[in-house]
Amino acid sequence: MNPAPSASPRLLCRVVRPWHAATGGAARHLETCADCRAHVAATDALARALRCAAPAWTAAVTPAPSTGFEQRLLRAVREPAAPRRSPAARLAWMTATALTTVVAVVLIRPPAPRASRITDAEIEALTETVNAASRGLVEKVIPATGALAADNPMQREFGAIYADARSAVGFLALNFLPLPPAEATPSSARPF
Amino acid sequence: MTSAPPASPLAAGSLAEPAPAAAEEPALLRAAIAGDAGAREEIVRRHHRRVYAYLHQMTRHREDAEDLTQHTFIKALRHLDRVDPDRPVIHWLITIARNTALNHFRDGPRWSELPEETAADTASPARHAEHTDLVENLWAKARRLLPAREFEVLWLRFGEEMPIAELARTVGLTQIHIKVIIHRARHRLLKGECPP
Repeated sequence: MNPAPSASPRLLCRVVRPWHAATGGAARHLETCADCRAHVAATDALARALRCAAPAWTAAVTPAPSTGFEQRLLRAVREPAAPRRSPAARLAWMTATALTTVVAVVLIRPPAPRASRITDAEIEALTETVNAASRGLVEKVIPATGALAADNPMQREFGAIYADARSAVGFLALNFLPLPPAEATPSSARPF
Repeated sequence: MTSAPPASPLAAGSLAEPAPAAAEEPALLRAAIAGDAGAREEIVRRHHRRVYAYLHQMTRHREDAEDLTQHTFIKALRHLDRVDPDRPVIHWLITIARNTALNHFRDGPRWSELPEETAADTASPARHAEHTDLVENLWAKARRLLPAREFEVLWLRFGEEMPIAELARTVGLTQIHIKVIIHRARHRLLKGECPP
C-alpha cells in the first residue's frame, strides 16, 4: 500500500529548495523532485481555491446593508468638511485672536474710581488712622522687639561668636599680612 | 515558483457590486483628487460594498460595519491627495478601513472575540440552506483553524488580492514576516490542524 502524499516537502527538499530558488534552479529541482512538485501543486491549488471561495464566503457571512445605506453614505460624503488650516494659518489665527482679546480687555476695562469721590472727612480719618498706627509702631512694637532681641540667648551667642571671629581675623592679619609700603623697613637699613 | 494568480473573483464584484473598471480608475482618482464631486461619489459607489463586507468580517456586526464604512470614506476622501493614482484604490481603502476598525475597538472587545452574526441568522430558509452548504467553505475552515492574525493576512492576500508589499504596509509587518504567516496558514489548512 502506498503511503498518502505528504503535504510538506521532505527535510532535504526544504534545505535544497531555497538554494535552488536563489540560484534560479527551482524549476530544475521541481523537474527532478516529485515531492516538491506535489507540494507546489497542493499550495497552488489551495491558493486558487481560496480565491474562488472568497466571494461565496463573503456573501454567506455578510448581511446586506440596511435600506438607504448607500444614500446615507453619499450624503455623509457630500457634506463639506471643515476646512483644515495649515500650521502657519493656525498660528496667524491664534495671534490675531490673542491681539483682539488684549485690545478688547484694554478698551473695555472698567474706569478707575475718581479721586473726587473720596471726601475730605474720609481723608482726615484715613490720615489719623495711619498716624496712630505709626505711633504705635514706634512707641510700642520697636522697643519691645529690641528688648526681645537683646535678651535673646541665641543673639548673645551669635555676638560672642562674632567677637571671637573678629579677634581671630585681627590676629591673622597682624601676623601674616604684609605691611603697607609706608611702614615697611627699607632694605638698605636691614642689618646683615 | 508559484504560478501567476488568476484574476480575482472579487474583481468581478461581490455583494452585487458593480465591476470596477480598472483601466479608468486612475483617471477617476485624478479627477477626484482635483475636486470633482462626481468622481468622488463614483469612488464611493464602486467600493463601498467591498469595504463594508471587509468591515463586517472584522466587526461581525452590521451597524458597526455601516458606521465604520462611513468613517472610512469620510477619512479617505479628506486625504485623497495622499493616494497613488496608479495603484488600486481599494487596497488603500481597505487599509484605512482596517485602521478605523482597530481604533474603534481599541478599548472594546477584540474583533476576533465578537460573536458572529451571519447573514443566515435572519435569512430565508433557502438562504439558510445555502449558508449550511457554505459551512464547508474553505474560508469557514480557515476561520475555524487559523489564529486571527493568520486568517486576516490570508484574507487580505487571497480574498482582497492585496500584493505582499501592500499587505505588509497595511498590517505593519515586514514582507518576509507576511510570507511566513501565509506559508504557515496554508500549511495548517492543508494539514487541517489547529494552532497549538
